[in-house]
Amino acid sequence: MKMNSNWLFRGVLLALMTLLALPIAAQDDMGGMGGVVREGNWGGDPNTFNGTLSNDSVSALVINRQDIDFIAIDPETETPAPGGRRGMAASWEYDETGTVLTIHLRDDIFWSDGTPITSADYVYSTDSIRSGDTPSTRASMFLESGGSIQTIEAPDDKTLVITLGVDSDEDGVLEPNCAALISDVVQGFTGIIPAHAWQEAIGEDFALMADHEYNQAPPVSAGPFMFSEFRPGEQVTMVANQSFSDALMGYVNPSAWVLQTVADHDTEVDRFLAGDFAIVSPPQARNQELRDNPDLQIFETTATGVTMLMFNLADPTNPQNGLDEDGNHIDQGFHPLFGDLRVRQAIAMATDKDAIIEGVLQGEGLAAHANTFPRSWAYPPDLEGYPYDPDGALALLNEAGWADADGDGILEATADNEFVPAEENDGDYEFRFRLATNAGNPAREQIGQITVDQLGEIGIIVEFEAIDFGTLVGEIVGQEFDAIIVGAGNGLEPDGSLNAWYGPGADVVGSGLNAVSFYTPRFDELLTAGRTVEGCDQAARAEIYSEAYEILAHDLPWLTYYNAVVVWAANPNVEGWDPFAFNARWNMDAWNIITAES
Amino acid sequence: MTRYIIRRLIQAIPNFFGITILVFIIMSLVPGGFVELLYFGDPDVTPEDKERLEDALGLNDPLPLQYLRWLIGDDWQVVERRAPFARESFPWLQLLNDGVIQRAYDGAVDEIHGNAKGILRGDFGRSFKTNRDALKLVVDLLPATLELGVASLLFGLVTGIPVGIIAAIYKNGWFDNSSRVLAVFLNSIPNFWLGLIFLYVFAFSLGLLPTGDRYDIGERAEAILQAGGDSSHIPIPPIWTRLEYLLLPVIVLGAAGLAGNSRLMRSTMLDTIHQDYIRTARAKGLPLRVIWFKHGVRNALIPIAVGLGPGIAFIWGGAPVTEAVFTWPGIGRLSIIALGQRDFPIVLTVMVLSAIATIVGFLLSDIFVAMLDPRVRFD
Repeated sequence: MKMNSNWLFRGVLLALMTLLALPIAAQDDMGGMGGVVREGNWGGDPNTFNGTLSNDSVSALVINRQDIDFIAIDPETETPAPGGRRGMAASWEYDETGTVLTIHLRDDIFWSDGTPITSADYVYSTDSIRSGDTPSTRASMFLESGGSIQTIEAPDDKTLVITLGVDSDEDGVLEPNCAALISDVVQGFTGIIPAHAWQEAIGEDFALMADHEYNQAPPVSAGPFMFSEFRPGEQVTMVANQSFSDALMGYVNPSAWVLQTVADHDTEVDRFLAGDFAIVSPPQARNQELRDNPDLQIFETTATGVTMLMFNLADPTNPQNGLDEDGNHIDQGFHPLFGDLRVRQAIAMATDKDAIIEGVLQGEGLAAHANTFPRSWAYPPDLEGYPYDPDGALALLNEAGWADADGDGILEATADNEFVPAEENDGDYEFRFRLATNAGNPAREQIGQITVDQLGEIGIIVEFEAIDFGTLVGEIVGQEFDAIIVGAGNGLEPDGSLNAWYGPGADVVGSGLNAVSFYTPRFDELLTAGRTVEGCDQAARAEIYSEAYEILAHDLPWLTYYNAVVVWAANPNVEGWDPFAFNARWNMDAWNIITAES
Repeated sequence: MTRYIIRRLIQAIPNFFGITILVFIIMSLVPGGFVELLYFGDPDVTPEDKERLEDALGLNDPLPLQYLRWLIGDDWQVVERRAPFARESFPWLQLLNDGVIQRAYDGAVDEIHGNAKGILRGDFGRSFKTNRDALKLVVDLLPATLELGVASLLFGLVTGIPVGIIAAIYKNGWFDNSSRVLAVFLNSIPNFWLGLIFLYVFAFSLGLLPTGDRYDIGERAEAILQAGGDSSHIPIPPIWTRLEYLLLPVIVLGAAGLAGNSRLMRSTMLDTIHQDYIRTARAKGLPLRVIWFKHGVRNALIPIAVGLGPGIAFIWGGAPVTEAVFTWPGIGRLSIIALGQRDFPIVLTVMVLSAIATIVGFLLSDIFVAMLDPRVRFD
């Protein structure tokens, strides 16, 4: 009997051990068996694989394959997620002042060489940026450069203490900055770099970082893929990193990820349809073509960015900065046409956005009335633009001192026009302006042509020109333009883009983004208020930003046209694709690419 | 001949400097700046950041100074952009200087020597955008460009010359007329259009040929995986194993060569066969085959040889449009992208190397013609 029990015990033990061993064996066998994920790229080569130096979208794309984030963003809710996958932070809390943020790091995350990911990695990454010795342009996360982070300390390997805030009353004491967590901590830079590898390579001499080979061939990785090869003008190849801690299946299923250069956006779509690539997001004009293909997997969302027309509000013959050295507002004069709010409103009323969306995007867009996007938490629920009303527009222009006195179909300035310089208002001053956009962007070029027609209906002559993008950017920042059609993106946190595009500090001739010279004291008050809400209550902040967006919709520094509908498509051989609006690739480690051989 | 070559090379020196000045001036006239373009729309990059970067790249220096630094470098002099210099106040300079900064500490003042050697010493600077060595980046892409260029040149010669000869032999016949129409057609249609049509028909619709690239990138990824992720020992497959990738871009790029060479060959052949020595050969009773191919073709080839010089420059300069349409990773495509991004070190490198190739190409052409045509003397 005793002998039988022994054998029974041994048998059960063996069975248990086998059961335990099976998943491990399966993991070894299954990892990297899911095929090669190939994507097209028409945005040029990545500038760098270093997350502290990255400043372009292609670099960000490759870095996001190889690195993890400091604080994870939940792809579904688009909010910071404590302990979220692909993030270093397990949890965090503020002290009672709201200016000291203590972040506890996860202890189950490792670089691909087995080294634990610790607070030292974050400190080294931020030190390199703050040193000013690298080409990083991410120093704006720090207080002294207009951001909010004052100090970063690492009491131990798994804890970080960040002092951050805003000194709005300039008394030397920080107050909570509600935008800081997203703008500066979460999205301060693209990715953490491995301190142990860089320390060994350059120590603390950050000046050596810019030219180091690690920027083009990173030695270790924390994300689902590891760098393997970069051939400029051809491709980036990354292979599966089976040390990736957050793999959804317990292992990284695809064997590799290849980002392959293509000539242009249309070619990328054509090659996707030919089966070369796993996923694609087409230009809006081809959305329907992909939707109509029953074999494809389709996901739709709305773009966070807008396409818009920028009005130059200030005197284009004498561009000046928005603020003097003491921070006081400078009188920048008026644009003879667009300095008058009634003129901007009239142009908005003469613009049929629905016709533009239909004609340019085949209906693939939502009319936009301010520089935001519908799924943003700060999106004003009652935001409205000016209705399409050409007769009302003409009446408003008449009121503003524009009328077709000689009956030639073109508006001229009347004697009581307050914005056209008196010495030029000889009774023959026509409403005529130059509208520019970048050549090679069919949607913007078509909007320009439609604008010529629509404004022509009410007697406005638009001299439209599509020019090289570099030239266009030079014209924008030079602030000598009349009007320009271009696009602008938006992040999760409205504070950054509102300040950058409309803040008086960004109205700098030759480099600032507030090239239209928008200045409204109430708007600036709202920007400050939005950062300093007591307790950073999101609903209270949303109310403040709602008013800011309503000012933009009313004052029209930009005439925003639309948020485009964005379609993502995956080929039928891509299994496990589960996109969100925020991130169509968030679970790539679990994708399975079925090939003829498999 | 040696004296002739030396004389021509000496004559090329002022040409070279003239070209560099012209190229530099043209680049400086291109509107829009690199820094503005790179950071446009980025709310995190402040105007101060941009100013700092422009200073560091030397873009705010006077144009003559920028030209001289590009030409002869600045490693031999103390750079005095800001004085007194403090590392903390001007750290970007270190990036320019490749981390090799000679400091002579004298109180609070740093004396910083530049580290640019200048193009005359082979230093073409670094890409503004990626900080990679501009010359290395261009040279790395050169094999792809040469591959496409040489193949296209050969295609133009190998197809154009026989077509021209046959057209001349059967003057005003159906082949001659057809080849004339074909030449006009191939000369008239833009490269990009022909390329797109070929791609649409042969790659996307019929699936007979690849949709672009220089080789099968998916296969390479598999090879890298088999090598354990190490790509360093995996060569680009030999050209004869990937002719299908070369076929369409070569036909598109070589189409103009086919057209031009066939017309040139036809007209020179017709000129040649009316020469006295051809009549003499006929009178002597030589077979037509010998007259046409031994005496006629050889002499008719001289104008074709003259065109080889510019052909070499054409190869070196790359074929931006064709490379772009077929995603061919060559320097033509690189230069177009760099120009769009105002990445001037890259553009200047391509242009200077193309200028050198042009000068050398014409020299070789002259030598070749002199060797073919005994009437031409080196003196």
